[in-house]
Amino acid sequence: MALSAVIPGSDKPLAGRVWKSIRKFPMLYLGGAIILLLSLTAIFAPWVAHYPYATQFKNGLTASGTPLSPGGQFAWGTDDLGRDVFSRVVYGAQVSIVVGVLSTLISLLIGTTLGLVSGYFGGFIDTVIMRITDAVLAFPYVLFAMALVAVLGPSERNVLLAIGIVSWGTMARVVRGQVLAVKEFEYVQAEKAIGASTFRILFSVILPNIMGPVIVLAAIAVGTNMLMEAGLSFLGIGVQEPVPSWGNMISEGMQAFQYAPWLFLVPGLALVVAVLGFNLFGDGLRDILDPRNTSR
Amino acid sequence: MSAELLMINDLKKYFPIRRGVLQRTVGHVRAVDGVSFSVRSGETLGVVGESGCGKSTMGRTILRLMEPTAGQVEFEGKNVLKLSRGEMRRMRREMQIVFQDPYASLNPRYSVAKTLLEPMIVHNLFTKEERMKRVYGLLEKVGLDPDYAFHFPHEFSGGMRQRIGIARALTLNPKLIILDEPVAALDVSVQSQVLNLLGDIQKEFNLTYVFITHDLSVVRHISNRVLVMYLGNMAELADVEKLFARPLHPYTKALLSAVPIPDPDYKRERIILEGDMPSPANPPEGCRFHTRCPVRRDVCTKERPQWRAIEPGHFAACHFPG
Repeated sequence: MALSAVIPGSDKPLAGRVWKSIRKFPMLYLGGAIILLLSLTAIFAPWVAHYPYATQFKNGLTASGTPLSPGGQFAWGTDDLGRDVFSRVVYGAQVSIVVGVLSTLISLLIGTTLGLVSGYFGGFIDTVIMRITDAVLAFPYVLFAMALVAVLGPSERNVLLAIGIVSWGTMARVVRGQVLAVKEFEYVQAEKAIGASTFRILFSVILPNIMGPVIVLAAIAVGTNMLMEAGLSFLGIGVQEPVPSWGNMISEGMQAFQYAPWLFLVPGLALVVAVLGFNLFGDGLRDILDPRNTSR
Repeated sequence: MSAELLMINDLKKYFPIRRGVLQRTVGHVRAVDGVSFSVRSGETLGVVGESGCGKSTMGRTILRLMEPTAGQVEFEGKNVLKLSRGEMRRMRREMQIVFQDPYASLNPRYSVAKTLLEPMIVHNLFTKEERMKRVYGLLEKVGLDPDYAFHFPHEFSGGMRQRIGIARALTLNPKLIILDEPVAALDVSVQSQVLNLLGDIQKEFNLTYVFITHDLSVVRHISNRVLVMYLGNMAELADVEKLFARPLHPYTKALLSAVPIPDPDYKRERIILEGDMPSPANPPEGCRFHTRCPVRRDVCTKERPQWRAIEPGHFAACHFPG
């Protein structure tokens, strides 16, 4: 029996099917491409970058001490200290990806657990958890990050923690909503009838069945968290000099915008593209997971 | 021969109605309002009633899928409601349930094999090989090709899914199975196949069934005794043929008169009840059925009728039975 009878359409050429999929879900693939590019840049930063990010070049400044504009030896110009902007942006990608992804993982962990417990048990526990969530959602993340940094000191790791701790609110709400929807399905009741522990019901039965919206939210959250990191680094309470973060590069670039606009434009653009990539990917995922999509 | 396997005494399940910002409890939905009966080992007790009469809720409460508000449930003499967590887990091996909706009762992310393995894994039974053998055995027993063991629920029809549900209920070798409208969602032709399957399995494994349904012709086919429920209360209980031959409660009479008979020449008196079923949040005073009863008298609006044996083995709650 031919494979094509079992998997419909598999006898058509692969390239054609891939193209058809891309045409159908352009956002997914565009976003995915950006994320891939960003991740590769971050992973292979030492090879992609032209120079180390902290090196100050004597020939990186003009005779009068101003930064060089893009072109020539320094692809995207130099900054006030004669450092190569291109290389710094590349290393900045590392920071953005690491902070974005890890902080999302933290908020996933906290938000999913709380959402599961809140949605499944209902009653008083639900009320308490939801009110805490409301409080966290209302809290300005900058203030919390500042407090954390005041206690622990500014660093990439602390920024990561702060963002993760502050951003689980939406996740908890979405998960709780999904749990409420799925909880009454008989297969959950059946699991209970068999005698499964509550832990098993929550994590082996309910959680896998609500992953769709959660994953979409997580993808978009990475973008949001990257922006938060940039904001905190911009304010000086995130990643510290000389380690480049797109946020602190923009901050420095602001000073020089009159004579060296590329100093804030380039990292700003990089940030925009990166966040856009994650948002597009998240939207694309949502489209794919839409039950109205019948052809899978 | 038959000992009492299950004993239910004055079982109640009320759901609180909450209103207002502070979520105050302003009343209760009396889904199950004092139900008592026993089920003998090996028999099939049919439980019939309209939608909303509380039969499904009662089924789930017996298994403690919901905690009852009051009453006793005894299984083989043990008080089910007082069991600790661990004891309850072991008890669950004895009583199982088959659900009504074949599309919602199977985890869409589990293959058939995983669904059937799950009970064995939860209770840590058998070795890996024994488990798979059991899975294939169960599939064959319910009439499914074992080659389908690793397929997913969405690849099956409703009738086949219901068979998987039945196989799951059998996995732990229970003594009692509560069947909550197991064929209601199936085509009539498939219904008969599944009913026959249930009958065969009952004989082979010496099972006791509590068969909840609203379909009276199904109940007649499969039950030994029948309990008729109305608005959370018991109306009548009797051996199946006695109930159909000589219904005592006016509600039972009305239900029976509504069963379709496939004979165009058959003429009969259709008893049509006035009104709709009252809300279980606010049941009528006196006999719960009096608002719709064709033979209602004054006493019915004031006093609740006692549940008593009108004839040996034939119980009803009515001031004027028969």
